[in-house]
Amino acid sequence: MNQPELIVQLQQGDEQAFKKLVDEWQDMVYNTAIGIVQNEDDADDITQDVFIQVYQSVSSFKGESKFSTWLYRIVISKSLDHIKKKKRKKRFAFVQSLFGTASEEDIHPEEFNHPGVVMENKERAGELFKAMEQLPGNQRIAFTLHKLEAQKYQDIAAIMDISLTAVESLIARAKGNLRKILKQYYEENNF
Amino acid sequence: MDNHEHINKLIHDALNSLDGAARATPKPYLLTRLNARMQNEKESGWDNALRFISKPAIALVGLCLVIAINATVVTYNYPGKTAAAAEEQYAAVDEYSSSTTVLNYIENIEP
Repeated sequence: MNQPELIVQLQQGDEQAFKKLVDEWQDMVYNTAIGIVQNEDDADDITQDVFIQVYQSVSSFKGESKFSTWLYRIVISKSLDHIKKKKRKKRFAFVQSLFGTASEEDIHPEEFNHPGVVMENKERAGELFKAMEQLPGNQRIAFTLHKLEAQKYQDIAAIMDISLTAVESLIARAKGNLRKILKQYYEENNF
Repeated sequence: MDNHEHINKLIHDALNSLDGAARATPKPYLLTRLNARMQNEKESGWDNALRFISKPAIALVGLCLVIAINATVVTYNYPGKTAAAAEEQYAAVDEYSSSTTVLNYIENIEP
């Protein structure tokens, strides 16, 4: 079954087509989500949310963009919503901590380790992910798509609905900012 | 290697630490979990709707609304017929009363 056929069958509510869609795209959806939210359980929830939304709104997919582009957009939007909710929760947890009712995990979440990174790079990757948290949203998305999903600049431009030059600029700025953040971190911690 | 160089190397290594990383994969049985969640959401959707409708205030408002709509429909759909029926009724009453007057008159006539 090719992709246009799969989409037509999905639009007709075919359960087998939905199974095929999940099998085919689950790693891409999960990997993108985990790169943005940096938490395995949250990425799992987002992956489920994404597929439920795809199932419910596939009829609105007109084929004007690639299916993968449409899917990436949903993952990014869900992940950013999730980060916003989490920030709100964190602020609330801070207020709770003043009264001693917040859990330690709410205030200081554990350091994230991407499961796909090779063992010898784990430590540096952990530091990089921590630094990525401080990047502005657009730079973070562009850098994640480029580094974790190995997306070409042209595809990133289509996903983010911006020009190719804008993507180049976003990634250059992301790298610059990451260098500054990491430098400060290494200097402060006497590496 | 001086400290500046050492830090530059650390930064370089960190920035390239994701190169060649494999894709992370979700926990097993994603489809099963998805189906269960969709089923739950479907059921809880109906449950929520039923719970909402069965609230006394909502039920009462609904009932009043149905009665009001019925009354409006009856009033606006048959105004002509109601007036005509009333007129017919008055005519029948008039006719009856005039015929009884005639009968009384006939009864009262002495032979």
